[in-house]
Amino acid sequence: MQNRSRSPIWLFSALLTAGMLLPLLFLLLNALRADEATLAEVFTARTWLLFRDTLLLMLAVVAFVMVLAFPLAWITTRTNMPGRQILTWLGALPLAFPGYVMAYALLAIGGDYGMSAQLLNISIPRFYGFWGACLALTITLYPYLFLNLRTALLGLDPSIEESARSLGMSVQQSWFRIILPQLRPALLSGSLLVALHVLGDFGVVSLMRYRTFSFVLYQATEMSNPVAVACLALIPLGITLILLWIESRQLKELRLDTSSRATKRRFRLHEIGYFRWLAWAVSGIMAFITVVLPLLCIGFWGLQSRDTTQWKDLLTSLWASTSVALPSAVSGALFALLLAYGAVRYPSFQTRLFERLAYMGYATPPVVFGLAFIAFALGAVPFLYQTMILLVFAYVFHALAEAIGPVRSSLFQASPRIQEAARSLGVSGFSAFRKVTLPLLKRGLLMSMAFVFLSIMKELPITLLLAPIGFESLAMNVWQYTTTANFAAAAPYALAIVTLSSIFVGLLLHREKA
Amino acid sequence: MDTTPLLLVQDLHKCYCPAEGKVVTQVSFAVQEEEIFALLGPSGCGKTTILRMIGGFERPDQGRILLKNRILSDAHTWVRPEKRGVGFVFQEYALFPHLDVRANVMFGLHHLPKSDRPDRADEMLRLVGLQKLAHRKPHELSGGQQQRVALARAMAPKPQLILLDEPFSNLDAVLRNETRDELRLLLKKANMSAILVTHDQEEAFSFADRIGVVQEGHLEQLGTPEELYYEPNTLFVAQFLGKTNLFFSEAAGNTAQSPVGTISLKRAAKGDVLVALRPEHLDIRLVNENDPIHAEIISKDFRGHDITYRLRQKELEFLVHTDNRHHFNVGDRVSVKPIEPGVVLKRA
Repeated sequence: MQNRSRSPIWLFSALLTAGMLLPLLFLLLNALRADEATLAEVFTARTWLLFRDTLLLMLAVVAFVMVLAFPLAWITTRTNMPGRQILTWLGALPLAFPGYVMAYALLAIGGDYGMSAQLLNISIPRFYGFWGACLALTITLYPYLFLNLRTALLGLDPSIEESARSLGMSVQQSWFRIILPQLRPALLSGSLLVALHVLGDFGVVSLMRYRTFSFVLYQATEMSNPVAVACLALIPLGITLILLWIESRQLKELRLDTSSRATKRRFRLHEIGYFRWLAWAVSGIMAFITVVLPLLCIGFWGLQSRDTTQWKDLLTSLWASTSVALPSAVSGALFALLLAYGAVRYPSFQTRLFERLAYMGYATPPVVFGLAFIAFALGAVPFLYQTMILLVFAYVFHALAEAIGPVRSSLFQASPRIQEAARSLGVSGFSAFRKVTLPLLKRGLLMSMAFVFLSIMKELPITLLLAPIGFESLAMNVWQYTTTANFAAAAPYALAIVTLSSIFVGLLLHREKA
Repeated sequence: MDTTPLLLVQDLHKCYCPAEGKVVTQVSFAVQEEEIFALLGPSGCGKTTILRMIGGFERPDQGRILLKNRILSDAHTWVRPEKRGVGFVFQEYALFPHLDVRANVMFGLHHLPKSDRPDRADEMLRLVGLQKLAHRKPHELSGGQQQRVALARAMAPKPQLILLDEPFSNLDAVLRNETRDELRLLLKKANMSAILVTHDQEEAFSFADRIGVVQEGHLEQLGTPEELYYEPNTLFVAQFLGKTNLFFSEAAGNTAQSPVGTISLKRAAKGDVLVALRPEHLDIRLVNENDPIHAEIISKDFRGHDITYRLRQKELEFLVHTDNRHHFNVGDRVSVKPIEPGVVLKRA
């Protein structure tokens, strides 16, 4: 009985992971064809500099993100700061601005023809290079750590801290010896997530003209030979694997079980006192940079472009983006359901591995992932090269991990006993699934679809690499116009993306609440 | 008279992955029409697995399950759960959260014409006293109410047998006793057969007509509550079903010489034996010079209507259970006398 229903799920999951790993395998095969001349061409002093610059950016962004996210998470969860709820919203809102939109905003402010020069007659220097990239990435990525820490802080069991106090520890001591150690898993996984995003980022570094692997690899696709590109792509892929390995190792050691949820009480909130003014000032400045400024910038340039044909072309582009995002969203949710169903209902080493491997598509730097799909298409299925089908597949595998979360949690709520109850009442297997389990998964599935849809609407590097000729998504337009400093033309597309992403953030917060 | 049992379970085996170590071996028993049967054992002993095999949610590796002479499961046949006509009440009730109470109860009534279903559902809800809550959603009900909905839902299609998997474990103590009595009455009124799975000895005693004690995947002993309590076959059954005293004794036929005197035996035996004697089957009185056996009271557990004393006699400690009319104090020297026969336990 168990074995019978297990095999098809197992097979699907195995096929899915094969689909995920096959492109990467082709990339590896390409790299293995390298001869000495190619290797000499790839591994030069410049590659070493590239490696150093990439790591530098990763470290700097992680450090800045921590400095920002930690106090904000603490203030919004454990103090009586007035307006905590608004601060939480503001802290999550930057998720609505994809990196390249933030970079667009920062670039469009400064310079001789920038917004500040035109509006205020003050010509400020244009953010650029390392600091520009660092600023844009810090702003767009800190919500990941912020939300992670918030969840961890809210999940702490007050009685652990109270028992520390009853054993004679002061507030400060219990903070360092009890709370901080309990936050380590969230801190670590949040930082690794940020580091992975910096490594994978293409939009910001390409617009800020700061050379990391993603940027250089993209430039290289147009000139170098594919073998050399594949060799170079293995380096960021290797860094990704190392980060994932650290995460799985560390988190295993750090597993901290809290007592059962039912007995959990609320924390007594700390008095914030006069410190609130400082908190308000800092978060006010943050809110201005992360939210107001980009919106202002998009609005300003959008007004400048109101007479052009951009707004008409916007619809064409919106339709193009939607026409690939929709099928991707539906198949993404379906695949996620299969993987999560296997992992939740038939937990075994294999099903866990499959689910874990799904995160590969998310963690692999998108440029590398796109290159892998090109290698795969050219090597195995040349007739699919530069088609919508290949693009959709790449999207689905890239966004699968995001789709698994909601389906997974709704599966946990739909106990297998419920389906068994239906069967003991005389309803056959599939019909029982349709009648009682599916209605319980509906919310999770819709949520998954929304996540995949919106993440694909914003996606840039995979689209640039794999899109069929003539296909122009919203993100491609923002990026292309910004690279040529045509900020007015980029504004309508940026506005469309921010609007869509705001819905995404709304969903995310909605989920955190639920 | 028809002598074929309603349910026949023969030589059931089930082996999970060895890592989990859960196994069911050589389980055979029968349940008669209108009988309430209980599978009693410590948690993790495999009793729920047996129940799930009867329900059709797990497939046995070996053995046969017959319901009214119809094969549900053997080496060649496998009847799917929905074709078995067996009701199941889950430990966590497993109510369909998106359907209201009446829709939950109607769920299994697809064999009835559509127009008759609400009537049958209402009839069931009246039976369990929930007709007023027909339009509530499961999460708006208390634990006891959810439990009754689960029961009404399982009983509505008139199954030949109802399987109850620890149905009272999610209720608080007071509610548990109440619901247990109510449920037994309901089942008896409807002339239904049921199998209850529980780890609670008291629950099995008051609910079931007959009990099978399960330990480590096999049936240790089958019998009525009285048989199991007064004549346990093994050490496990003796200790699992209430408190018991164990005495190493020298048996000679129908009596045995024990440290607390001569005990008459229910089953004749010879030689060194282990005799189990319930604490209420010992009588104590303040010491009298003529009494041969002396013991000292070392602790006292007063529980209102009865008292349990712990006694020490040389190296040996044992319990004596008396009603509250016999008062002794800690430190009293007393004489001990067995007043009922004991049972010789089988050597493991």
